[in-house]
Amino acid sequence: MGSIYLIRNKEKTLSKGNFLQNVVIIALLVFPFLFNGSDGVHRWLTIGPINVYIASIILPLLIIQLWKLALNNIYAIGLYFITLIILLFHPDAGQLTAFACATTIMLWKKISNGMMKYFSLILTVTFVIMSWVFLDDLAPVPYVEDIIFLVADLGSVWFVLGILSLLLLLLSLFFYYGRKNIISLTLGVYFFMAMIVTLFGNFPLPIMGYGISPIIGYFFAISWLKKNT
Amino acid sequence: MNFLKNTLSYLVMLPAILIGTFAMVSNGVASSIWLQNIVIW
Repeated sequence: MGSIYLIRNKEKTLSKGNFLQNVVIIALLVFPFLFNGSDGVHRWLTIGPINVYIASIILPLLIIQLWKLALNNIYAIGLYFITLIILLFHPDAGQLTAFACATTIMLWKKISNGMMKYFSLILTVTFVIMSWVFLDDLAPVPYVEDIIFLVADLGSVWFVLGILSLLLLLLSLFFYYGRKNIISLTLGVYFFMAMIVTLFGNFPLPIMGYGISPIIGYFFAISWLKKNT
Repeated sequence: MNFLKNTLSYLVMLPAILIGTFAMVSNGVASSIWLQNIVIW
């Protein structure tokens, strides 16, 4: 509940896209490379005992920034591909795929130049394929990546409730905010894909699994939508 | 009323967090782990 108060102040800083914000966003995505990481994987900012999974906080914000910038095609596309490159080197196929799927929808709608549309699409597909080819070797943590299986082990009723609780997260983005609202739909696709990729690889299941970062990311998304739609 | 509407938007996260937390507790995950999700919410 305390976070509701905090975000009211944050919203003001989120409402205006500018160059400095984009630099900070990209810098935060690059920061994990300054830490030792784990088995060559650099996804986390280590702050004392807490590991912050920075992509899951930053990417919803970046999607919003790109949406604001999409009329300025070249700049937005440049920012988009820089992000894909960084995610490719994290490496993080799950977040890269979710981000690429979501943002492609938005850029496809916004980019007016037909050739640039197809070029962006082909390059995006290439990045997604490469990210899945060069997957990391980290073993799954049961209460992070496999949390839905732990829920299923509790019984079928819990499993159904678990799936419904995940759908609830998406429904508000797709239907409550998402009616005729492309940014909400885009954020919905991002979170939907972040859930779907967990079926195909060892990626954290957002919100339900252990991890404060996806909760913060979802929280930013909802807060911005509440304020701006 | 406005406060209730604002609050409801954030409540959508609660079922998933609580179900995940219950699964962690049932599987003996340390409280220092699962408490983080609840505290950050």
